[in-house]
Amino acid sequence: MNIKHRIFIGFGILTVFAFACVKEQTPAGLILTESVLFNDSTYSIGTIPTPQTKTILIEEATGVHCVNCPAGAAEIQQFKNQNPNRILSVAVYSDGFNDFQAPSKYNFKSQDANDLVKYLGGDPPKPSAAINRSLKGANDYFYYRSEWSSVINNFISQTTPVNIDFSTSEANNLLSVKTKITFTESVNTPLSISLFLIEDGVIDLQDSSGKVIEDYEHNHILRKIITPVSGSTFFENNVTISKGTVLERKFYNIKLPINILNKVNCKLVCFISKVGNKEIIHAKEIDLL
Amino acid sequence: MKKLLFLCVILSSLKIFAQQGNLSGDLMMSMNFFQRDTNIKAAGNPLYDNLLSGGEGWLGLRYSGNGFTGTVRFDGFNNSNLQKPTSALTAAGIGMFSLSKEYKNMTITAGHIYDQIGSGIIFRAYEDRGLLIDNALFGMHLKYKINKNLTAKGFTGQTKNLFERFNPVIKGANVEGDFDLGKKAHVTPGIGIVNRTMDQASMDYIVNTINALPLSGRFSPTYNNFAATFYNTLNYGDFSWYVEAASKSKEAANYGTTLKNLNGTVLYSTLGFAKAKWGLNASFKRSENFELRTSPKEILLQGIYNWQPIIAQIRPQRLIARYTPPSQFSEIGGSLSGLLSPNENISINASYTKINSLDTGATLFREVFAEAEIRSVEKFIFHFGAQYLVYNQFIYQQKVNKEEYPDVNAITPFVEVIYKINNKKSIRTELQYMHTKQDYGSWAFALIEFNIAPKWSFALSDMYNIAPNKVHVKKALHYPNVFLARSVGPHRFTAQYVKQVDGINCTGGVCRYEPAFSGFKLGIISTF
Repeated sequence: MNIKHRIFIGFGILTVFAFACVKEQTPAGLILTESVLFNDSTYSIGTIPTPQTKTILIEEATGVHCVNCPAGAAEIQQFKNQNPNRILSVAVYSDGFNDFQAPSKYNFKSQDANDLVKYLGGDPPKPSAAINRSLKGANDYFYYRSEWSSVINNFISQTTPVNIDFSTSEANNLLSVKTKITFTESVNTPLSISLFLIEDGVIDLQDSSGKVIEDYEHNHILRKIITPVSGSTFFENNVTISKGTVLERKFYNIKLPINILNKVNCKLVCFISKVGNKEIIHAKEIDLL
Repeated sequence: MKKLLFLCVILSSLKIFAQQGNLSGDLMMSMNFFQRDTNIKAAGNPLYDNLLSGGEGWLGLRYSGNGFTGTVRFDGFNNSNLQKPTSALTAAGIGMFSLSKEYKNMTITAGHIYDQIGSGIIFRAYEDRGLLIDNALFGMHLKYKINKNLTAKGFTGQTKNLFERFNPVIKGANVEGDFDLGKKAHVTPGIGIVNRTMDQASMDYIVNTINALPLSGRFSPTYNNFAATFYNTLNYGDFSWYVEAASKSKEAANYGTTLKNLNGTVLYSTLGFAKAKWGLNASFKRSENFELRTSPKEILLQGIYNWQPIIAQIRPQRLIARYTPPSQFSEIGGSLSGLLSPNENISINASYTKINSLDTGATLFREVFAEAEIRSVEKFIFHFGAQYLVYNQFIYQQKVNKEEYPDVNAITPFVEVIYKINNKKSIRTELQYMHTKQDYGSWAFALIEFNIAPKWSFALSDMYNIAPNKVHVKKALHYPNVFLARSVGPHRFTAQYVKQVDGINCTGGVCRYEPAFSGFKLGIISTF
């Protein structure tokens, strides 16, 4: 074997070793296991309960320094008034337009809010809203104000294949949530359950068109995403979830976040979404206490 | 400002050195005047609604002498539509520079480096101005000629991002050989490896994205990705065979709307056999999850530091070019073509191409193509042929709804006639008809071109949506083009009035969607 062949073969061996020797540590911040403890109970029932009326969930990207956001929030409230008990909303204070500075009293931003907008395609222009997480474009879920009405109208006439019932109990700032998901129709797509903790009635500064509102009432502020951002999946190995299937999932040992101002004003939002396209098929809301 | 000062210093230095070596350069400039036309959807963005004009230019200078080569290029974009056809790009500065010295079998280069390993499957740094691709590697490059048969090279740097750089670091090595095997056979084998190391910001993005995935889809990503390739060209008598096999280690890669931890492979081969009057060519490619980016944070054409050869042939015909298939993340395909040239006045070419998705087995592309060129009639050249194609518009153009965008089935006959009036003057005409019921429907295209060599060229063409598909277009529209070119020595000036339908623009197998264009274009190309 001459020198040419040796160089060639030597380089080939080096290449193989380079592949084989690479072993890296897990990157910081990576979560590979469920972030909340839970246990499951599943069973089937013969008598199907009356299907609940489908509720729409609006995830509103908003900002303290967004001058058009008060008008956006008012418009969402108007949709709720026009469709009683059919629409829920969560105000997501992600990084954009939410620099915390005096004379504001409270910092509404949170890592969960940033993770959520990232999950829904990135921090959008504000006000924008994800409506039942219906896909607007490629990995883009946020609609502009002018589009909200038509998207909501598309969902209002729809029904849902699941009933959501849930309750909470709290002691020493540790929360337990009992959820019961009843399938009133069969479903052929993997689903996940999500729990959001929100707070109403926080009075603080808000920029608005041409003025600053010093005593603006901030409602539905996202305080914590209890489940993973993408939801906590269930029946992952089942292609079809049959009509009459019931899942009872109890989440426990949930620490209440320290940024809550008043537990009495807090609510818990529970919703079911499709794992594939993220679409929310039903949502419910209860008081925390 | 620092960059401009640097340019001045380089240019001054080049002027002094030019007395001892060779100074050359090239200029390329283009100017667009955007004329709003709501009928063809050339509207609704700042270029057509407000800015109304824009352009871009490149001035490159190269000095070489005594084994030294210095290159510098100024790039300027003023309200340019080149990077993103619906928005304006304004930026200017040193687009590239490099300093290179060859000394005792070693060539050392620093600056912006354009190079590739093999056919480019694991690494290719190149420039394509039509799509504003310029992924030069900014760093160091060493090339050493070990002996008359072996060359080794190594490089490290960051991929260029307009006037900035992507943060991940790329390094690679390559050994190439060149050997005779007996009297008839010759081989040029090569081995290459490329390593990309992710920066922290890119890893943070990946970690956040993975944390948002369902638990079953989560994985532990790596900062480092390795890709290796083995390739060889064998020439034996009338045969020429190229084969390349490449593999890359697992890394976080975009897959649909999610991230997956995927390794990848490519097998690519071409086989040619050529005799005096006929020839055969075959090609094959199987690629699985193969795309090399600086980070999955980058999308579309951003941050890609490799290139994949394409199986389908790129056709120059205006209508056929509407449906050119770019390389896919995972695909398997092959083509076979034959050339027959019984005498110097006749040549016939026929080919068949088939490409499927490797993941789903879905049909991506089919082409049956035949053409003939006849030169036996004095002063005339006749070129005619036809293409049948199946084109998966849903996949290639990333449409949301397959029912709305079914596979395009099209038959396109074409004819081209060149009449040489005398040694200088000639007239060229083209007629094409694309029959299809999908996408925008059927098209007709006609062109007449008058050339006075070597100075003048005039062309008039029209593309007409003769049988529109009412699902996507409301009415039949004309897309005319009036073109004028004037060459004066090394300078070529062009002017054209264009209405261009929206569609996929491909160069060398790399494609992007471009919206309709309406307006005037001016251009200058000059070399010195």
